[in-house]
Amino acid sequence: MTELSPKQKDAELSEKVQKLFEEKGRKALEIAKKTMLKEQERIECKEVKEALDYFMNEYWVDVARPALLSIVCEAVGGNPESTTSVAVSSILISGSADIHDDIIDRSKTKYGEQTVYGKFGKDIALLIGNALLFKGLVFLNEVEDLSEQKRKVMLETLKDMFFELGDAEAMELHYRNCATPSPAEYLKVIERKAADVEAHTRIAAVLGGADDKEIERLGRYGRLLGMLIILRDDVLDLLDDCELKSRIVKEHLPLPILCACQNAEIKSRLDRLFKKPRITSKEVRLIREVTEKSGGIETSVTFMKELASEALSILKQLKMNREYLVTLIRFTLTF
Amino acid sequence: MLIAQQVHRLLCRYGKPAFKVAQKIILEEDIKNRNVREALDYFIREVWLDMEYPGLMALACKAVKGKQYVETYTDIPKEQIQRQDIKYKEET
Repeated sequence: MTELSPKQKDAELSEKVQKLFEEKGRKALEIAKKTMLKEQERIECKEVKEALDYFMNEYWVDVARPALLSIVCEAVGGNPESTTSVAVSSILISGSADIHDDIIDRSKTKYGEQTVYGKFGKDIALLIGNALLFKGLVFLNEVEDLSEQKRKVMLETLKDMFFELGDAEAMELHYRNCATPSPAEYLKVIERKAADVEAHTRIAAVLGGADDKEIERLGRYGRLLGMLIILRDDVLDLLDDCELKSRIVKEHLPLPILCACQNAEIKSRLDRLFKKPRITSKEVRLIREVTEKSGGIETSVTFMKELASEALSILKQLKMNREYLVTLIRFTLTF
Repeated sequence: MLIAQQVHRLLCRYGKPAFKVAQKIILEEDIKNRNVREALDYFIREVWLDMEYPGLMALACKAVKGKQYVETYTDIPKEQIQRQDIKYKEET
């Protein structure tokens, strides 16, 4: 049997994670769809109906968050089924945050798909985002078989997550228009943005009946996993012409470029390109080339490996079934 | 005083306790970003002085003999509202 190349290994791991997400997260997603589309029957405005339908049926295929809840809960010895209702709520609340994020970033397309903001405009997107947030919170409040104590912890965790995400979004606004903060400054924002994943691992640990120490460790694991997911996107965005252009023009620069800009000469070269009123596809490719040659990607990946190593060492301290949790960390290092 | 003003005053009196609690919750929230903190402070201190909705809830609750959140607020006598109502109609 021939040995797989690194690229083939990455592809295999990526496929494995997709299957895992699908298997563990699909049920909650289907319930979330049903729940939201039931509300749709009472909506009179055609545009809102269409937008909600588009978001739930075509756009928001969020199986990752429910799968993470299920995996962590099972890892601490809990019943993964007990996370389904909370996962439904999480799908809706996270969907709301995603839509609001698109409005702020003016993202009309994402991963090759039109966002709700891109397809229906700001006003409708805002309304859909609000509807999802309210439904998600009400749904969480109605989850049965949940002690008041656990419900309180969950609501408090979600609230903290939302506030931290909002903080991070606001901090990120300073980095628009090709601002070049130091990688350390940028990573502070990324750490705050990872609150989302930490909230999920914490909630799952609570649902699974983990003790306080385990909850703290899984919380940290979630924070690191969240950072890795965001940084993986940063690297992937750099490798894709369309995404890179969007990052330069509308959002903030990804970590590899910020690492490259630590070199004054490279920074001044890239700044000249950023200052152009219009950036052509050729210039986008040039920005990538300069970043790559100056070691921007390498430095970013090295940093990611450090985060991954910390996450894996946390897992080693936990006496539980760690297989899937390790797989998720490894996945974030595939490009 | 026009009936509208009087109703507004009534709602504010009944809504103030809940509003103060809402204000306190928001002001006590730990928010790191200065801009967000300032915007939230401005909104809750100067823009969103919403006492009408909690006032309406308190009055509706009182009407069905529910327990009031704060009982120190007295309502304006019915006759006074009716008198003002007549006066308002005459003026218009």
